[in-house]
This record gives sequence, structure tokens and C-alpha cells, in this order.
Amino acid sequence: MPDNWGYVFAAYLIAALALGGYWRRLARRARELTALAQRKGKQRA
Amino acid sequence: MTRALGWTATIALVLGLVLGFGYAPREITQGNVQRIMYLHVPSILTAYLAFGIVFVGSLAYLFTQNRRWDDLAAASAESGVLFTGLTLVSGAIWGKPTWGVWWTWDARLTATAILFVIYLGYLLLRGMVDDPERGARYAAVLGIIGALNIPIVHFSVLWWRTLHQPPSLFRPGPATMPAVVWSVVLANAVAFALLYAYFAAKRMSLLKQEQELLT
Repeated sequence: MPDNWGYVFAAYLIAALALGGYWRRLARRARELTALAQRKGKQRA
Repeated sequence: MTRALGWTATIALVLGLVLGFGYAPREITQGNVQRIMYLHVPSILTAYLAFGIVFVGSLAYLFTQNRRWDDLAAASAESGVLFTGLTLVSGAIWGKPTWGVWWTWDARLTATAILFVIYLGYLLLRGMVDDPERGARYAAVLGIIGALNIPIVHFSVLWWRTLHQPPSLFRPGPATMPAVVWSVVLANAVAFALLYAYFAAKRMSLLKQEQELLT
């Protein structure tokens, strides 16, 4: 049977994109919440 | 702590890749396409772990009404959906060259798709209900019912005649894979579990921050 490397790389590439994408989404949300907390802190001060 | 977990998971994932492509041998009948197994099997094992945690978190929330249990369940469900999605996609990519089809309505594949849809619904339900207390309660019930599908997914290949092969790990009787193969699967499963732990811890801390900002 041929090795089908294209399928192997496609599977790992999609996994990397999905996991990386979720990690970026969490990081972006963390930045948004930090900025929101700072704005709220300034308003109270 | 979360940052250290993230770095540990990253190192473990790189090590898992090195083992999967450099240490594990080329499979004699399928060729190198079998290396998708080092992504496919750890993904579903991690999804089982994540949905198992959703089950525990949901039960604990219903008994204690402590919001942190609900946060644990919600954070785990997100990762569980991600890893189940990866299982379905990597399985389809592996299925095409080996079975000749991307998808078939086989018991294992169908049960996994149902598991994916149940927890996707779980996440949608959380976003749909305005009252957070009520939303958490509904989600907890769905989280418990959804987890009951895990044994059906896992043992479907033993209970019904399927195109999908029987389980290679967590099965009755001795292991069917050589040690060199299952040890690489296990190493990758540990790496994925660490990544899940990082994602869940990070998501839980974000949920806590969101609640603090809203109150």
C-alpha cells in the first residue's frame, strides 16, 4: 500500500490549526478581560 | 501554574511528534498513513477524559450548587468538543486511503458523531439561557446524559459488526498492538491530556474573571 503522506500531513496540519486556533482564542479572551478590568478600575477611581 | 502546564504540554506534544514520526516503525500493511493513529486515538481518549470530567462536574454542581463545578464542566466540554472534532476529522482522513471512503454510517463513527453533537448542543444551551443558574442546571443534566454515550462509543465496535476495527486499548484481553506502537500512542495520549488540562485550567480562570467583572 502506498504511504499516503499527503493524508498524514493534512491530518496533523488540521490538528495543529484547530488546537492553535483554540489557544489563540483563549489568549485573546484573556487580553480582552484584562483590558475590561483595567477600564472598570479606572472608572471607579 | 497554568503557564507551567502549558509549557509542559507543549514539550510533551513535541516529544509525542518525535516518537510518532521518528521512533514508531512504518506499519507493514497500511504504510506510513497509519501514523495518523498517534493523533486519532489520543484525541478520542482525551475527549473521553474531558466528557468524564463534565459528568463529574455536572453531578457535583447539581448536589452542591457551587459555581466552580459548573465552570469545570463548561471548560471541559469546550475541550471535549474540540478533541472529538479532531477525532472525527482525523478518522475521515485516515478512512479515505484505507477504507476508500471519508465517512460511513458505521456504529463507532455514528456514536462518535452523536457524542460530538450532544456536547455541541451543551455549549449552545449554555449560551441560550439568560439566567446563569438555570442555564447551569439544564447544562448539568445534559452533561450527565451525554457522558452516558461514552461507553456506547467505546464498546460499539464489540457490540455491533462494524467497519471500524475493535478497540486497541482499554479492551478485554491482552493488547493487540506491539509495545513499540502502544507506548507511542500512550505517550501522545499523555501529551494530549496535559494539553486538555491546560485548556481547561485557562478556560476556568477566564470564566471566573468574567463572573467577577459582571458582578
